[in-house]
Amino acid sequence: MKQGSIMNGKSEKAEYGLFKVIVKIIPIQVRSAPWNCLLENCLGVMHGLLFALSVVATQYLFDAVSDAAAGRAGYRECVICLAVLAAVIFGQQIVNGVQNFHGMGILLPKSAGGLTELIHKKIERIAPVRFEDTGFLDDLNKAKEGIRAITMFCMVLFVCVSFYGVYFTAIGIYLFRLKPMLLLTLLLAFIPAMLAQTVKVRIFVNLEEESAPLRRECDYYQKAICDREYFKETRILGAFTFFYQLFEDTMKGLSGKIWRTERKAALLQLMLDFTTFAGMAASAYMLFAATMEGEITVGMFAAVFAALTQIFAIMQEVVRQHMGNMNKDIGKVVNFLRLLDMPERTGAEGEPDFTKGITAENISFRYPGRDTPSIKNVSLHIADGETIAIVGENGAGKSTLVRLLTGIYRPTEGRVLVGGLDTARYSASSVWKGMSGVFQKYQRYKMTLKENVTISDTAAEAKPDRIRAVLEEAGFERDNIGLEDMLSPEYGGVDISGGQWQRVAIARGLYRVNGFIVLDEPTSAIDPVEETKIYKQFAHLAEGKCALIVTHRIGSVKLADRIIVMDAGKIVDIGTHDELTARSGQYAKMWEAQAQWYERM
Amino acid sequence: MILKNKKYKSYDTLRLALEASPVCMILYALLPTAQSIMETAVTAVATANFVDTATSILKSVRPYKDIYPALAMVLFTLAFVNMIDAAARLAASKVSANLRCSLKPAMVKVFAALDYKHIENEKSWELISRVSRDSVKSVMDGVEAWIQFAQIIVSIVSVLVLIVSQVWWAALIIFAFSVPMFWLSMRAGKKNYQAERDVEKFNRRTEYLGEVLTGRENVEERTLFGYSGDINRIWKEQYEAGRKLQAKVTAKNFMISKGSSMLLALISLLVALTLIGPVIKGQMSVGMFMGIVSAVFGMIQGLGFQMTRSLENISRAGEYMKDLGEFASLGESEEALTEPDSAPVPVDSLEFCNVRFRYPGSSEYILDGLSFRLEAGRHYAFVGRNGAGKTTITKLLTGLYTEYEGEILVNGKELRGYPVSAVKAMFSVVYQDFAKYYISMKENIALGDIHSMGKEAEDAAGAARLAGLDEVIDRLANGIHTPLGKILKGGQDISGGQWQRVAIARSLASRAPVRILDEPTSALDPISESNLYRDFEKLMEGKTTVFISHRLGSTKLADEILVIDGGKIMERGTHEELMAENGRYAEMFEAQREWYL
Repeated sequence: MKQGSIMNGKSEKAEYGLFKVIVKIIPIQVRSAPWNCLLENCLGVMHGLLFALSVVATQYLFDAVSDAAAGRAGYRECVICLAVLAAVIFGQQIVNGVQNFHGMGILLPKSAGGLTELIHKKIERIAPVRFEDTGFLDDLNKAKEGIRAITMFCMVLFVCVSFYGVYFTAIGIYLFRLKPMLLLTLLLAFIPAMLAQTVKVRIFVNLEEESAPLRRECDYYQKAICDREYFKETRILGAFTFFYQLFEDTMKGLSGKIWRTERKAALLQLMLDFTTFAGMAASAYMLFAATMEGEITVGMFAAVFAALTQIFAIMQEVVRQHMGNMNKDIGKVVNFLRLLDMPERTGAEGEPDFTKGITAENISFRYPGRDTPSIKNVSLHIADGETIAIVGENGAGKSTLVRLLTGIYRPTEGRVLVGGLDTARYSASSVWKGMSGVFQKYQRYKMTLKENVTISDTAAEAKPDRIRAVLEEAGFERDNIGLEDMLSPEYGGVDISGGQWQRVAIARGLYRVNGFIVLDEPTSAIDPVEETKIYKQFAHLAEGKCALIVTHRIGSVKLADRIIVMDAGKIVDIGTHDELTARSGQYAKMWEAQAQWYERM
Repeated sequence: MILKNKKYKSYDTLRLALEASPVCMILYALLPTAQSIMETAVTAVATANFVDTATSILKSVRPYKDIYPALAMVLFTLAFVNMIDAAARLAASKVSANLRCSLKPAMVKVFAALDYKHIENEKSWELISRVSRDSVKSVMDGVEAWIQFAQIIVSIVSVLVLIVSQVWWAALIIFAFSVPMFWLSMRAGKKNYQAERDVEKFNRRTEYLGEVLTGRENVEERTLFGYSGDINRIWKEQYEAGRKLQAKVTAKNFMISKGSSMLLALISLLVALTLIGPVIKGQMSVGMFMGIVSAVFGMIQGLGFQMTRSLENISRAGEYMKDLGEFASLGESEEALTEPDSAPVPVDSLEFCNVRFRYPGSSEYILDGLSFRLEAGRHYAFVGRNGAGKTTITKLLTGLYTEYEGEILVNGKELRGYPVSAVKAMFSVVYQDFAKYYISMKENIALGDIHSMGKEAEDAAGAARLAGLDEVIDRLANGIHTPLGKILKGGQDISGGQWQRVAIARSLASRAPVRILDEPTSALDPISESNLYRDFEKLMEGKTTVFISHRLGSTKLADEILVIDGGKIMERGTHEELMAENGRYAEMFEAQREWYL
C-alpha cells in the first residue's frame, strides 16, 4: 500500500509541479481572505526592515560608546544612539507580535474557513458513487489536511518574499557598503543549510518507508490487547502473552531501526554543522581582516559579528523549517487541488412525472476501481403506485440496484428513467424532486428533533404542526421530548433508543413530499415484535406511490406487489410471492431455508 | 519500567526519562545548558577580548600577533555553539528510543490488566485513550520543555554573573527591576480556561457538521435530501463564531508571549543604559560592553517566545502526567493476564440465584433478580428483546464483572471463589462483536485453546472443517497459514460471514465445557444461517451450550428456552410449552412466523 502511494506521489509531481502549484494556490488563498493577505505582506516588509535596521542601530551605539570611551564623544550621544536602538527594537517586537498573531490567529483560521467551505461545496457536486471508493475517501481526508497546508504554504511564500526578502536585501546592502566581500557571508550561510535539508529529508523518507509496515504491525498487536474491539476476547482466551510477545518483538525491531537512522542523521548533522561553522568562521575572519586593515570600525565588527549568528540562524530557519515544511505540505496541497479538479456531476433541469413510473433499460454498473460489474444487464419497470421488494443474499447487488434506480448512481451502461427523466442527463436535484427514503444506514443527526425531521427537505418551511403530524404517523413516542430538544447527550440533549431513532428516520422520509419512496430495512438486531412493526410502517409508507423495499429478512416481502430476486448482480426472478414459491428457484430455496425453522409441530 | 500508583507531576517526565536511559538523559540535560552558557556569557567574553585586543593593536599599544589567541577563542566558542546541537539531539533520540521500549510495554501491561468495567465506562475509556495516545511523545515533550526552561534560566543567570563580575551594582539594579516584572509576566500567563472550553464547543460542532457534509455514512441521505447548502450555511456561522472567539484567546496568548519579549527588551536596554556610564568612566572595557550588549540583545529574539512555550509545555506535560497517574491507579483485576487452565473443571451445573447487577455508573439494574439453573449436556436458548440483559449474562459468567449481588454457582460453588484461570477455562464464547485477529487463520482458531498455539495445525484444521471453512482455506494463497487482514505481509481479506465462521471455529477448538454463542448468525445470509443451525446439533453434541438470539427460528435447536425480560426470567420451557402459555415468547414467535405462513 505504501509503495503505491509513493508511486502515486511521483506521478502527481509530474502533473502538479511546484511552479504550477504555486500559480494555482496563490489566487485561491488570496480569494479566501484578500485584505488579510495584503496586511500580512505589509507587516512582513516592515518587520524585515526593522530587523535589518537593528543591526545598523547596534553598530551606531557601539561606535558611539567606543568613541565616548576614547573621549571623542559624550554620554549624550551614547544615550541618543541607545534610544534609537530602543525604538527600533520595540518597533520590531511589536510588528513581529502583530504579524505572528495576524498570521496564525486571523489569516490562517479565516482562510481555513473559506477553503473548507470550498471543499463542502465541491463534495456536493461530486458523484456519490465516489464515496464507495476507498481511494477517494483517502483523497478526501488528505484534501482536508491540505486546507491548513495551503495557507501555511502561502504564508511561507509571503514571508519569504516580504520578510526574509527585505531582511536579506537590506542586510546585503549594508554588508556590501561595509565591504563588498562581506556579501559572501549570505552565501556561506545559505549553502550548508540547504545541503542539510536535502540530505536529511532523504534519510527520513527512507526511514518512513522501511518502518511503516513494522509500525503498523506493532500498533496492531497493541490493539489486539488493548482495543475495545478485542479486549474481552483476548482476556478470556488468555491470549495476552501471545500478543504481548509479538508486540515486544516488533517494537524492538522498530525501535532499533529508528535509532540507527537517528544516529546516522545526527552524524550527518554534525558534519553539516561543521560546514555551517566553517562558513561562520570564514565570515568572522573576513570581518577580522577588515577590522585589522582599518576598513571597518571595531563597533561595526562587534555589531556584524553579533548579527552573524542571527543571519545564520535565520537562514537555517528559512531552509530547515520553512522549506522543510513546504516540502512536507506540498503533497497535502496537491491533494487539495486534486479534489477541486475532480469532475463534477452536472445535468439539465426538469420535473419528474411519477405516473410514468421508474424504468431501467438494460443497465450495468461497475464501481470505480473494480474489475467486475456489480449490476449486469438489468431491465425493470416500476409502474405508478407499485410496491416492489428486492431480495437476495449479501452482496447480491440489492443496494447498488436501489442506488441506480433512485439516480444516486448513474449506470455505466443503459439508462434509468425516473418519472421520465434520464438520471444520466438530468441534474441531481431534478431527479430527486419527488423522491424520499428511509435508509438502512439512516442517520442519527446530533441536532434537534425538529432538525432531524426537516433535514429531508430544508427548502420547505418548517411548520411545527406538520412535523408533529409526521412524527405521530411514524409512531414516534414523544414522551417529554420537544421539537427543539437536542437528540444528543453530547450536546446537552436527550438520548433516545435505537427503535425511537428508526421512527425519527421514518418521519424524516415522510416529511419530504414524494411520489417515489425507498425503504431499506435496517440490519441491526431488533427484537421480532419491533421488527414486525417496522415492516408494517413500511407497508403503510408505500401505499399509493412507487415504492422500493429492500429487505435482508426474506420473510417480510409478502407485502410487495412484486418481488425481485437478485443474485450476483442480476435479476434472477420476478414475480409475486406465490408465483415465486411455486417456481422452486432461488427464492423458494431461501424461503424454505428460513421457513423450516418456524415449522414446529 | 513499572508505573506506580501515585500522583505524577510534570517533573516526573524527567524521572521517567532518567529511569529509562540514565546516561543519555544526563547528557541530554547537560549539553543544551552548556550551550546556553557558551552562547551568552562565554561569547560575550570572547567578543570583548577580541574587540579590546583589536582596539589596542589599532592604537599600536599591543603587537599584532596578540590577536590570534583572541580570534581562536572567538572561533572556538562559535564552533562549540554550532556543533553541540547535533550531539544533544542524538542523546535525546536515544532517550526517546529507550523510553519507547520501556514505557509503552509498561502501559500495555497496565492496560491489559484493567478491571473490565473501565473498558466499558466512557469516562475512564476516554482517560485510557488519552494516555495511550502518543505516550512517549508526551513525556519527551515534557522533558524538552524542562530542559528549555533550564536553558533560559542558565542564559539569564550566566549573563547576570558576567555583569556582576564587571560592575556589581549594575547587576543589582537590573536584578531589582527584573524580578517583579518576571513575576508579573508569569502571573499573566494563567490561562482563560472558560474561553478555551467555549471555543472547544464550537469546534466540536463544526467538526460534526463537517462530517455530515463530507462523511461517507450519510452519503445517501445527503444526496437525496439535498441539504448540503443549508447545512453548509449553518456550518459557516458556527465556524465564524468559534473563530472569532478563538482569535480573542489567541490574541491574549500572543500578548503574553510578546509581553515577555518586550520585558526582556526593556531589561536589555536597561543593561545597555546602566553600562554606558562605567564604560565612559573606564570601569569597563568597550569590548566587554559590546559583548554583554550583544548577548542580551541576542536573547530578546527567541527568549520571550521560548519562555511562554516552555512554560505552556511544562503545564501540558503536567496534565499528561496527571492522567498517567490516574491511569496507573485505575483498578486492575488480579490474575487478569493468566491463561486458562489446561485441564478445565467439568461443569455439572450452572446456577444464577437471584442475581442483580447494574453497570457501574448506571442506576438501573439490567439484571434484577435473575434466577435459573442449567444442567450439563443440554442446549439452552436465551431470547428476549434488545437490552434485556442477555449479553450481560455472558459478561458475568466470564468474570468480566464481579460486582453482582446474589450468587452464581458452578457445581454449587460461587463463581467468584474459583481462580480466574479456572473460570476462563470453563466458558468459550462467540461474541456478537467477536474479534477479528489479523494473524494467520490457524492462529486465529488455535487461540481458542491457547495451550495448542505452538502445536501443529491439525486441531485447528479440524475445527475449521467443522465450521465449514475448508472451501475458504483452499482459496487462500498459503492455506490455513495465510495471514488474515491487511496488517501482515501477504495477508488476505475474507468476508464478514467467513470471519464469523472463524470465530465459531475458534470456539470449537476450545476445550471449555460450556459454550456460549451470542447472536452467532448476524452476519450470515439466510442460507448460511440455516446451514449453521443444521450443523449445530452435530458440532455441539454432548456439550452444554447457551444460544443467544433474537431470531426465534434458532430455538428449534434448544432443549429448553429461557425468555428474559426486565432483567429476570419471564418464561421458561420447551417451545411447545411456551407456545401453549401464549405469553411473550408466543407473541415474538408468532410475529416472526407470520411472515413465513
